[in-house]
Amino acid sequence: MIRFENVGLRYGMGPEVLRDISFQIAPRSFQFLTGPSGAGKTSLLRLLFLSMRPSRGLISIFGKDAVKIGNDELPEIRRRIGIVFQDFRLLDHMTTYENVALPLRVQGMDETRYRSDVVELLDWVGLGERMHVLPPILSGGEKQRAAIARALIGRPDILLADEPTGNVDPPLARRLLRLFIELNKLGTTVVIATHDLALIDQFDTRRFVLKDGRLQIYD
Amino acid sequence: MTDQNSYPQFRTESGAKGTARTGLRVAFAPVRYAARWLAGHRDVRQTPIVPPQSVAGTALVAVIAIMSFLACLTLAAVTMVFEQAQLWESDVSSELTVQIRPTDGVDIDFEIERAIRITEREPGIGRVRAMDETDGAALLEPWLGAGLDLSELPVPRLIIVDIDNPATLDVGRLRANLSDSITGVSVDDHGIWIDQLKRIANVTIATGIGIFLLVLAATCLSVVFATRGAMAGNQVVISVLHFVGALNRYIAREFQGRFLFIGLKGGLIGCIAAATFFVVGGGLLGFLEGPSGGSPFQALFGGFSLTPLVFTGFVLVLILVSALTAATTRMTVERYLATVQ
Repeated sequence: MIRFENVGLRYGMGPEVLRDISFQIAPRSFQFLTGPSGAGKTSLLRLLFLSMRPSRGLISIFGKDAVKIGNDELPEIRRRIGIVFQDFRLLDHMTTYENVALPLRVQGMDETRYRSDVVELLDWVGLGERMHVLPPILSGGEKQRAAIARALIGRPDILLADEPTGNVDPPLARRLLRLFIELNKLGTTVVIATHDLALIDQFDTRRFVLKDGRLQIYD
Repeated sequence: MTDQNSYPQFRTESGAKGTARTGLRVAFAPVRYAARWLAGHRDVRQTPIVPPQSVAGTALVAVIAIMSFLACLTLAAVTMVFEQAQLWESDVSSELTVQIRPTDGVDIDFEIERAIRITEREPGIGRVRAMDETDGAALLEPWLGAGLDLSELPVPRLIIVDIDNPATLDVGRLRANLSDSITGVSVDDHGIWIDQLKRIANVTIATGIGIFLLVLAATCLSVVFATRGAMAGNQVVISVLHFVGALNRYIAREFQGRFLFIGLKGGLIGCIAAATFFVVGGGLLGFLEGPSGGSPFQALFGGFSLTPLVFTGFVLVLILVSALTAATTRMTVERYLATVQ
């Protein structure tokens, strides 16, 4: 599904923040991406999400060379990738329902076609009663779940989550992780970037550990 | 679930509730929906993805309103000059003058009779009448004073010829026929005046069109700056739209819808102001009426009123300004988006 070969990344003329990164992500797999703050987790997620191009090496996403993907092809590929940002990036002037429905709305779908799906998903993440609330009113955990719902509504092949438990208390963090595991069981590939080792230790799964820009994989 | 149709249709922003601003938002709601529909949004009830308050809307509406007002005035002035020039031309070219200079040994009255007969034979000629000595004296009175006896002066005599059908009249042949038969005759078809009038009218119209284009260019530049500002203020919205897989043309359409509404609103205000200016101005000009009954302004430029042609021009200005605003926004957004991933 996704393949990195000797990938390096530098910002401008600065030093490489990612060096010789090589790995493969198989369909329906589940992995944590971890490492200390500043190790390059977010940069790696950006490469996975095609919001940056590598300075060197090969990135293949859904069988396509990332460097050769044109701007006109990007939207189609991004619709196959769901992403949850650490800062949620919900649009404050739109309700929770509208934020979650956004990926379907930008595809030009009529609201009558996706309304029940969005409502069902909001119920599933526990936001059924908050769907007409604007994001500034939501708590951190609710925002996080809304962001996750938005990433999932388009039924992506892969879900990338950047510190999805960073703004919630430990019980809610465990609930969110169970949500991701449930999703994975339903067939979605999941990559979760987090520096919360205590949380990772509770789950026996594949780990990518970034340190000083280099990657170690623990299967 | 809560009824989806219960989305607030006219959601008031903080502080705007219960104010005149809310009233204006409601009043312009049809324009807003029309703009979103024209921009390609078939469900106009949905919340706009570009937050309205993130666009410097009020300032841009004011700029577009002023520009539309000026564009309307310029267009109306051009129309008035064009119509008046046409009127002058048709007035002047609807008659010609035959002039006979007195010559020693020639009976000028006999020559006038002959000239009238020759002229009347030409096709396209209407009424032909000679000015008698009294009429001639009246014409010269401002320069030579009253009680003038023209028989003592070698004053040319004039024949006024009304033209019924300019298409069939051959002035060259008339001139040749008269010159062959009458001594000291000349024909004035007012061509010099017509040419000068045409030149003045054309220069005025060209200047007006130039000003009109400059006003439109200034409007486009204002829209470009406002769009860039809106995009800078909506980086988060744009990034979110990108990562949920929105096409660049979808994002451009979102901004276009917002700016089309601003263009329509500003254009509407400017055009209504210009129409009001014409109605009120036309009334005020009545106070400037001269002794002959018409105002000096009317004598020069014709009627200062909202004629169907001027009104059509205002509607065209509204359509043009709105379309230009939307197109400029779309181009600016698409050019910007082409540079980002």
